[in-house]
Amino acid sequence: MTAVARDAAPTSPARRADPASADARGTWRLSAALALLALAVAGLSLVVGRSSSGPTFGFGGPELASIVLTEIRLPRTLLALLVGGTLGLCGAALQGLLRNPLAEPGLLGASSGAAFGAVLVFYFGLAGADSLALPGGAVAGSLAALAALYALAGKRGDFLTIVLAGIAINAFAAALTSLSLNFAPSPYAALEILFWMLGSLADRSLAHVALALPLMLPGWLLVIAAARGLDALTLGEETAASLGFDPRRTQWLVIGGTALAVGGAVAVTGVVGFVGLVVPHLLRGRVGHHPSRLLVPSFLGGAVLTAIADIAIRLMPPGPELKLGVVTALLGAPFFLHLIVRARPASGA
Amino acid sequence: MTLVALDVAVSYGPRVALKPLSVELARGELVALVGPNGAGKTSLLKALAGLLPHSGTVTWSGAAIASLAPRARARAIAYLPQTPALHWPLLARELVALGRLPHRAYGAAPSDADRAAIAWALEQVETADLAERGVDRLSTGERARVLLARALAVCAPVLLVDEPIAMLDPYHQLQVMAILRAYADGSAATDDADAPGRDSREPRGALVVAVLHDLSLAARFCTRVLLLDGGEVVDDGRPERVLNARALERHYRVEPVVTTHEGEPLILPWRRLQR
Amino acid sequence: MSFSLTLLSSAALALLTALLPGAAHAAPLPSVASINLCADQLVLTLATPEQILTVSWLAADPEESVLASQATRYPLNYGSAEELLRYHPDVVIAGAYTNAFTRALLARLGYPIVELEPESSIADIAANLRRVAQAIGREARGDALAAELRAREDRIAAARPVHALAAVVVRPGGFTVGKHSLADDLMTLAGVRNVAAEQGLDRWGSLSMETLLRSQPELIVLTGYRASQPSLANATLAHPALRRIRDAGRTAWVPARYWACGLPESLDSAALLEQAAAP
Repeated sequence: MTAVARDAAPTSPARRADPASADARGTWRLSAALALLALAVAGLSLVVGRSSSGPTFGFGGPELASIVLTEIRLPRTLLALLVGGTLGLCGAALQGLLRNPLAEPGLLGASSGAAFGAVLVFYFGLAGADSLALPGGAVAGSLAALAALYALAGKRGDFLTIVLAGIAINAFAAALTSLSLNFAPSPYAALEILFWMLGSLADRSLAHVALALPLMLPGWLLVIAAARGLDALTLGEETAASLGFDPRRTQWLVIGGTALAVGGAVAVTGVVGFVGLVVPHLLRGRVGHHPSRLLVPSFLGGAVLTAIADIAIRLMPPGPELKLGVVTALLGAPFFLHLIVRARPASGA
Repeated sequence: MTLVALDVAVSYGPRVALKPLSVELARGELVALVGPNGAGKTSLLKALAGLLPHSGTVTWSGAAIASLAPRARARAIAYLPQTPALHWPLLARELVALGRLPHRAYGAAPSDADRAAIAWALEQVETADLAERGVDRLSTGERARVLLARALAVCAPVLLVDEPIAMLDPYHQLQVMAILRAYADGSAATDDADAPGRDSREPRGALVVAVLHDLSLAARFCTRVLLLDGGEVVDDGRPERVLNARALERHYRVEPVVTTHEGEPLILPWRRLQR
Repeated sequence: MSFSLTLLSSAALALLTALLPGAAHAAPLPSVASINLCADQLVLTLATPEQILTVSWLAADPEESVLASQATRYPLNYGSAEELLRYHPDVVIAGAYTNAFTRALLARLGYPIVELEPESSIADIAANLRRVAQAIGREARGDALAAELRAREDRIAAARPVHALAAVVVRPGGFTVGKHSLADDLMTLAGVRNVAAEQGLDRWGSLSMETLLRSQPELIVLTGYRASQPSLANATLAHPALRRIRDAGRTAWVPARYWACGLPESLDSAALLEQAAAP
C-alpha cells in the first residue's frame, strides 16, 4: 500500500488530499453554479414580457398581473428550462454513448418523427380543435420513430447500425413532412406547419407543461441510469462488458430515454437545434471528460442557454416574434465552429 | 478456486473458431495461451471472460459465470482486450479508477479501498508520476501500461489479458511479465500487507491467463502453457515441455532455436519452414 | 338604386334607435381585437371605430390588405396572447389557421374567440360577414352588407358576356386556382371559364407551362403581389412562353389582396374580369 493510505487514518485528511474527490467536488460546484444561474435566468424570464410596442418589464398592470405571471410567463419559463435541460442532458448522453462529440438528440430521428406527427395533425385539420391534439401527434410521432429505430437496429444493435437507422428515419420523416406540405389544404396550413417546425415557446400554456413532463421525467431517469455505463464505454464495448455494464443495455437506456424526453420536448416546442450539441462541448473540459459527470451540468447548462435565447427573443424590437429554433441555430452554429477550430483533437487508441 | 471450462466452443457464423474444449485453470497459475494466428486464443479468452456467446459452460468456484450478476462477474474476472479503445482524454488516474466501477455502488463516492487500489495499480506499472497527465498525452507504451493498471485495479481473482506486452519496449515487457507473475503468485503487494480489497483468509494469488506471442517470455514467466492450433488445445502443461522444438515447428511452422541462458529458457524463431 | 335605399333606411333606423327612450341604456358594443388578416378586414368593415381595439400588422400592409389605410388608424398587434391581454378585448376574431397555441391560450384564459375558415366561395363571404357581425353585436350592419353583396353579385351576373372566355389564372410561382376556391367562384360570376378547374384541379395547385399552352386560354389572369420585390415566384411570370400566350390573347391584372381574403371588395375583381372579357 502506498504510504498515504497506510499512515493516514481513513478519514478527512486523506480524502481532502485525494485529487479524485477534488474533481467530484469541482463538478458539484459547477452544477451548483449553473443551478443558481438557471434560477436567476428563470427570474428574469418571469419578468420580461412583450407587447405590441416591444419588450416590457413587469406584468402589465395589477389586474392582469396574476394571469400574465401564471398563465403566460410561468409556462414559458418552465418549458424553456425543461426543454433546454432535456436537450442538454440527452445531447451529453448521446455524445457519451456514441463516443463522438458530434452527436445530437436529433440524430435518432426523435425530433423529425415528432415533427412529422405534428404535421399530420395540422394536415388533417385537428390542430385547432383541441390544443393538446398537436403535441399529442408529436409524441406519437416520436414514439413511432423509436419503434422504427428498434425495428431497424434492435437485433444487431451496434452503434453504427443505430446511427445509420437514425439517418434513415430522419430522411424518411423529412420526406413525409415535405409530402404533407406539398398536399397541404391551403398555403396557410403549409405556412403554419413550417413555422411550427422552426421551434417556439410562444403562447404555450401549463397544459403543455403537463403534457411534456410525464414524458420528459421518465426519459431523464432512464438516461441518468445509464451514467456509469457511459463511463465504462470510454474503454470500448468489450471492456465495458467486462466491467459489468452491458453495452446494449446502456445503449437502449440512453436511446429510449432520449426518444421519450426529446419527443415530449419537441411535441410542445417544435424543433430546437444546437443546444444538445453545444452545451456538452462547453462543459466537457470542466468535468474532466467523464461522460457521467457531464450529464447534470449539461442539463442545467441547456436550461440556461435556452432560457437566455428565449429572453433574447422577447427583447427584440417590435414585430413578429423570432422563432426559438432560428435563434439557437444562429447562436449555436458559429459557436460550434469556433469550438471545433479551437479544440484539441481527442486521441483514439 | 478454479476456472473450469466444459465443452466450450465458439463459432462466428459458419466459421468454427474454437472446437469444444474443456480445461481447468487454478488460482496461482500464470497461464500462457500461445499458438499461431487464428488458432482461437482470443476466442477462448473472451469465452472465459463471458464476453462471447459460446456453447458449453464456464464456472468459477463452482458457480456458472453466465448466471452471475454482471457486477459480481466483473468483480471476479478482469479483462484487458488486445487493442483497447480509448475515447475520451481522461487523466491517467481517472482511467485506472474505471477499474473500480464493479466495486462501487451507483452514486457512491470512491472508498479508501478504491483509492488504495488505484494508487497501488499505478505504482505496479511505474506510472504513478503520470497520474495527473491526460492519456492523450502519453506515449503508446505509457498508455498501454495505464490500461493494464486499470485491469489490475479491479483486484479480481481472475485476470485475463490479451497480448499485454505487444506495445511495450523491452524494459517494460519484462516489467509487465514480472507484474503478472507476482499478481498470480499473490505477492504483488509491495509490502507484507495483502493486495488491497482482498480478504486475508482467502488463498493468496490469482489466476492470470495471458495471450502471448513472445515464446521466451512465456517460457520464463508462466507456470503453464496452453498451445492452441486450429481451434483446439494441442498441448497443455509446463512451458519447458510444451514449448519444444518439434511442437513449435509443427504448429508455428518456424524452426526455433531452443536453448537456455542463465538457467532460464530462451526460445527464438529462427527460420521459416516451407510446408 | 337599391343601394341608396338601403343606406337611407339604415340611417333612419339608426336615428330612430338613438332617439328611442331605451336607446340610451342599450348595451355597449363589445370591444374587439383581431389577429388575422382576413379577420382584420372583416372587422374593419363591420365594426364601429370605437369597438376596434387592435388589428394585426398585416392589415396595415397595402400589398396584403384592401383596407390598409383604414387599418393604420388603430394599434397594430403581432398576434401574441400577452399583447392581446393588455388590450382587454371582449371578443377576439382569428382565422382557422392562426397559431394554434395562441388560440388555445386565449381560449384557456377565457376570451371568446371566433375562428374564421378561409373563404372558398362568395357565399362564404356572406357567411363570415354575418358571423363576425354577430360576434361584435353588429348584426344589422352584417345583414345590410350581405344584402349589398347579393345585389352586386346579381348586377355583375347580369352583365356577363355571352361568350365565356377560356381563362387561366397565373399566380407568382406558377400556381393557379381550381374548383372550390374563392377566385374560381368570382371567375364564374364574371362569366369567365376557369380552364384549370375544368381540367379537375381542386382549390389550388401548380400549373406547368405546357399545360397552360395546351389549354389555349383566351384570357390570362395575372395576380400582382409585391411586383417591385425581386423573387423567384415573380420571375416565373416573365417566362417567354407566357409572353407569347399573352400576346395572343388578353391579360387581366388582379391584385392578390382581393383574393387573399373574402371581402365585399373582392367583387371588384369580378367586375374587373368582366370588363377584361367584354367584347
